[in-house]
Amino acid sequence: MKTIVGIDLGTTYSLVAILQDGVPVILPNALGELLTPSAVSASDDGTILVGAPARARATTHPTATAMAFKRDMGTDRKLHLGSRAMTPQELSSLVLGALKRDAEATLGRAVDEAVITVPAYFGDAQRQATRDAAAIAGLHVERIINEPTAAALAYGLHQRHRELRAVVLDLGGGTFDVTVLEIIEGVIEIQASAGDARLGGDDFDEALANLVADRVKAAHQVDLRGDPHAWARLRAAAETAKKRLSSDACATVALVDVLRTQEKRLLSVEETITRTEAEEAWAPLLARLAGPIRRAIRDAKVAPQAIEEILLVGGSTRMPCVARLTAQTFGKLPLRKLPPDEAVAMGAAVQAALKGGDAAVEDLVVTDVAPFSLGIETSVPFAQQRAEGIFSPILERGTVIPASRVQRYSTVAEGQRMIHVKVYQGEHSLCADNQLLGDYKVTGIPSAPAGQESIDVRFTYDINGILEVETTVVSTGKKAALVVERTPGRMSKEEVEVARRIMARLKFHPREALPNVTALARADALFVELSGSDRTLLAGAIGTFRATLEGQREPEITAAREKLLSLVLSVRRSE
Amino acid sequence: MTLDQALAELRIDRSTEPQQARRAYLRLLKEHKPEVDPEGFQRLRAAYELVCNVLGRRLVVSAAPPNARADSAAGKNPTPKMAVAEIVAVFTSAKPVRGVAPTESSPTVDRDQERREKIGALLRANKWSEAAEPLADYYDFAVGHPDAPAPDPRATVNVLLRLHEQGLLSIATRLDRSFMQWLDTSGGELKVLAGFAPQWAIARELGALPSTLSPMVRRAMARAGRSREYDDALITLRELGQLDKRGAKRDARLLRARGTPFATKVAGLLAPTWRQRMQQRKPARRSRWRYIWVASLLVALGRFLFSTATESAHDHTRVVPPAFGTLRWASDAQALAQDGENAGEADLTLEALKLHDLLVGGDCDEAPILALRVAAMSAPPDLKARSRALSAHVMEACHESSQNRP
Repeated sequence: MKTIVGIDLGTTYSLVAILQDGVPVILPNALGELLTPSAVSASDDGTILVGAPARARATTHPTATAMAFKRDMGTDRKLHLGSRAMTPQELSSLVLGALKRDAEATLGRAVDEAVITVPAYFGDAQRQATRDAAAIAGLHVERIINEPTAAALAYGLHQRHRELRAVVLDLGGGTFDVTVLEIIEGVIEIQASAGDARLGGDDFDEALANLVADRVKAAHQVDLRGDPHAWARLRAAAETAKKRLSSDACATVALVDVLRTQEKRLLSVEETITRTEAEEAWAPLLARLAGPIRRAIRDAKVAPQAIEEILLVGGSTRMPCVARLTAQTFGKLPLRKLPPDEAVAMGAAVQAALKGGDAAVEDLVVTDVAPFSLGIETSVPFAQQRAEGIFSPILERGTVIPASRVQRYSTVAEGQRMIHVKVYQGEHSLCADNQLLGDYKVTGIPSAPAGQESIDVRFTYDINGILEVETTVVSTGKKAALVVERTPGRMSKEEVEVARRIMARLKFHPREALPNVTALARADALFVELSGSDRTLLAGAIGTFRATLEGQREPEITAAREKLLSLVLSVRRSE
Repeated sequence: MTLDQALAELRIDRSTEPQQARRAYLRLLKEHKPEVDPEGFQRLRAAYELVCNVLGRRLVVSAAPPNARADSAAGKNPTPKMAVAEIVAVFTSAKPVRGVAPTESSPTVDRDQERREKIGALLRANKWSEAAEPLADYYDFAVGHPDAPAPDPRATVNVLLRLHEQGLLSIATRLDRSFMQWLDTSGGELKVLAGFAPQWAIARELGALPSTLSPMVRRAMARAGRSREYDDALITLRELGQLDKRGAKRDARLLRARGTPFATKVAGLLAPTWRQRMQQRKPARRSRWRYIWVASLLVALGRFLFSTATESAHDHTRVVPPAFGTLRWASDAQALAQDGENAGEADLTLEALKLHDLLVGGDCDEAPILALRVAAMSAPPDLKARSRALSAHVMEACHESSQNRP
């Protein structure tokens, strides 16, 4: 039997999981951790680091480290890693490659196929980019599923013998998704999904960092946002503070020697933030959570009172204010039945098992919906004029997929020989406000008076959320299909092959060395933040560890590493 | 797919209740998993959706108020007031939003009813500017209450255009914002404003344009959207451009900065670019005399249209109906749908119901096409004769109301 793994390729963290004996299991990475940070960093000698060590380097080497590149998937933006410029696909492929190697090491067999999750609001270009990234990493994508659907699957797996209607709210590092689902007779029916593609834990960190930066600016007339090093350290400190605020009433952001003032004096920052202050700063973000919730409920045609269970997944739902908002909206306490960080990966593993024909999930059926409307640009006759650029949807959002829809359009001018088919995705009535997916020209239409000739446009939306467009000239039967030409960030087969070879040539730290590199990176990151005797102590420990590494004797290295890590931990705890 | 084929696919019969159809679908889903058998799944789903549509519609048809026919019979001599009543009626009827039935006993819904009636009364009295504020408040309220009855969005677009016509920008912005927010949460513009896209597009253009735009231009643009005086309004714009060249140039710059097709078009009318002027001049080289002749004819025509246009612009109390002639045939379409359903003609039923919706909405562009399609469908002889007659009436009514456009 072939091995298919489920991968949650997240904005901040990624996970890989597999279904074993009917239970989803997360596979640990080389450090024994379940969550691999989605971060890539280039060290000074050009070696590439992926995961925890790269994330630890974000504060010490912000310009040589790339994070949150998932937000740029499907664009032609390039991210700079020191002297090297890399596309979001290439960076994602490095993370996927690391996950693949971890899974192979744990399972003891080759892994070539995967189910990968993407946010429901990912459009065609972003889904294709995710496929490209997997291809570069040498993984065949068996299926792309929506993250909220995956979370719903992980949840539905154990509830499948019940009958209930539930809402899954997934607030991750970078995206927010709402899914309304009904479980009935062993069928998990996704009824609606909505979301905000640019709202996640990172935005809460940034709001908190801005709050601190504003206070510092008022007190010292320097802007921490102007300096990349200072800003990266502030962001990291803000994230820690945010996590602390989930359990405590206040948290302190302390940064030692973070920036030079105009008088060339080194500035240290210590600001205390109470939970009330933080929630005030987050108010605009919390308000944005309400829109997608309402929209999903309306789309599913249910009253909020009819929802029986509300499930929170995604690390950011640990924030009490998010749970409070949910409780207010539904008049019901939300549940956290699954580990919030792992739910999506677990669902991906369930989907992988479905795909692989695992007997444990044989009786389970899942149906999903299209999260956005798809259609083409048209001219609408209006009095004796024409209104141009009106969006005509062919496949409406909420349609159960896979689906195929066809609509007939006719010519608007006399003797028109050509129709320009422009495919858009979105919910606005004007094309200008929607997202262009691709376009092509249908030629060879016989010359006739306006409105006499027509074409059939067929949209086929497959189960992976990938769209195919086919047009037929009604009178001649001539067919044409959409070949998307150069939408930004899209790669051809040859380009994927080239990128694959480039990625294969990159130098990586060997997997065995990863614990050492991570320990060193974490110690370095802490060193920057410390002052006084702690700093001297840590400098000594780092020096000893580096010297031991040179000696290349494994037991000594392990002992020194443990010592260094316990020092780092104890200092962090005493902070 | 016909209704019978769909029923066979689901292995149920005509007497089935909607809930049983769902059970049948869920049971069969295990045989046609979307993973394993995408074609089989799509067929099953299409059958299920068709059956739900017909079963759901059956409830709607039988629940239609008995006086609907009497109302439309009274509309034989339609007056402009009647058209306002139509808008208001759609607006105040406690129509549930897509499937969510309001709990009638709860006091909050009663209070909403009162609010809606108050707004309806203001609209009836042509007090657009006074109605705007409560309307915006109502939308704000509706955003938080998904099961509250939705106001008719088309009436709101009309109010928006009215406000722009009268230059009441701040109220318009307020209403625009609340309305957009409501649209966003209630399923998007597409579903809500289907068939009303051009008017809505113009309303949005106006909302996005800066307040420095000359009020005359704004009024002409609003009139282009609100009523079907599109051509008159365009001629007005051209005249405005000639009356005040400097102002027109400034306005054209604002419009071109907006960049959308409609704004660019208006800008072209106000102050044509050099290129556009050259294109207009071309015929002059070929035949000077013909040019002069055509130009004088155009000027005469323009003056005539401008004079009628300004006349109606002063007459604010007149209301332009969406197409009131069409409403009286809507109940016939509904009756046809009912009988078609009894005769087991699922396709005819669906199309006739669509025609009914279009006729109620006064859509004179789409309704004749659909009427022709209904007439062309296969049906038993008696139904066929009725659908043909209905088609002829609809064509006539739509033609009439486009002639009646002031």
